Amino acid sequence: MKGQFVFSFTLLLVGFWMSVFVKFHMYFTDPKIYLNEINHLKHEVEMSKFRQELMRDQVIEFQMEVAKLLPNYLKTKPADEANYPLRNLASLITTEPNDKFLNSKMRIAFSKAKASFREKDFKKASKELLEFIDKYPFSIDIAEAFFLLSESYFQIEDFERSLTAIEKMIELFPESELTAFAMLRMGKIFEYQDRPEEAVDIYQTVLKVFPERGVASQAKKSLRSVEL
Amino acid sequence: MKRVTRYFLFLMASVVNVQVQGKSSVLQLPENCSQEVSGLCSIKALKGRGLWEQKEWKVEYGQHSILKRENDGVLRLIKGQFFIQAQEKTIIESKYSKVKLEKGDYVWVELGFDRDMIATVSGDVEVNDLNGGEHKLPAAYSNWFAKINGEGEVNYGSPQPLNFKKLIRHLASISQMEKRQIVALLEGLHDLWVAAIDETQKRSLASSIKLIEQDKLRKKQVAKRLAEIQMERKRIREFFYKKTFLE
Repeated sequence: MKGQFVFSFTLLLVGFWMSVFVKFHMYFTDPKIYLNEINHLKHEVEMSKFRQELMRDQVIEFQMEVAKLLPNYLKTKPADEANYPLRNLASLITTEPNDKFLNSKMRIAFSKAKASFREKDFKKASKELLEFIDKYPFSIDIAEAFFLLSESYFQIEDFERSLTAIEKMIELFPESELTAFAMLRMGKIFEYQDRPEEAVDIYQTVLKVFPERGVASQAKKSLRSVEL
Repeated sequence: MKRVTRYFLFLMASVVNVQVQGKSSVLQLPENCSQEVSGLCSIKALKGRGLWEQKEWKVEYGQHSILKRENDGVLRLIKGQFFIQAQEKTIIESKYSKVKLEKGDYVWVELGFDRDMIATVSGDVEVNDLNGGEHKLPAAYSNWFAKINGEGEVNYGSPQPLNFKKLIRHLASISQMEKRQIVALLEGLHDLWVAAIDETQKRSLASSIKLIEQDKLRKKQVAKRLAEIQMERKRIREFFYKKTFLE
């Protein structure tokens, strides 16, 4: 009986002190306010994200409306200064670059330069080839373009520029047969400039690097003529 | 003794700070708009899946999905994954497509960042791309639709049998149907799906044969072009040789 009383009393005492502790603790560090504030802020962030998503959807919807109408409209308008804002707007809706278009543009530019070369308008050809190299450095015709450029410079007797173009070819396309031909041209320029030793060096290099190719026989002939 | 213990437990329970957050798992703009029958209403699922039912449609959506009921009652899907059941003739819009549904049609829509995937689970639906092009999508087929490019052309795929495994996974995670209902739905769909695969295989075979023939033709043309280029190079070489060594 006594033991029961002590046990009950202890329990009540513990309960009492716990409630006193919690009351004091809540009084000094009430987390409710902060928790509510955090929850409210979290909710606000979610809401603003939600509004943003809705707005983004509206932007996409508008963008698609523009994309639907603009290309056909642009076809009716000349590409002049007055229509620049329209073209600018169209650039926003343009997606991936069209590889086919780029390839055909490259082909056209190179054919144009080649045609000028064939017509022996070497000045024009050199200008067009330079432009082509600058604009489309990854074209498959780039080695040929360098070769024609060096030849064009040679034809208009701009030997220094011709040599620079050939040096670039040696650097970029050391394996190409066109480089071998260009090197023969280099040797020829050295001969013109009274630099026979350098010309011999060049011809020997061509012989060494391209022994099996047709160009080797030309190199041999050139070498013989210099040594004479 | 029992009375004392009970009293003690009551005291403890009243002291311990039990906080139950009654936070909603769905955001609505305007507040509680989904209770209304009509009018502009946007919903975003923050946690878990959700269900929104109207007279015309019943839509089940996954976590983080966003959808909107327009003023004219059209349902616009903005982000996420959805299962939509038409309860009347209705139209559903998304970024890159518009789906026309008849009563009883059931579709699965998955919105990606650059394309919308639409799959018909039940019924035959008609999908319009952004340029208004009509695409039929029979049951068990899926297709994707994307944006309009700078040329004014719309990008879209060709109808394919839907991804059955993915459908089961999504139905389990999004749909509020009971298990037996899902099983019944999938059993009904399975035969159509098998037929769709057979048909697609036949189509693929025919188009592969066509592609092989086209490739053969292209290779022939390339070989011809290469021969022309070789001839041209030979001519140039001869020309340079003549210029360099003979003139």
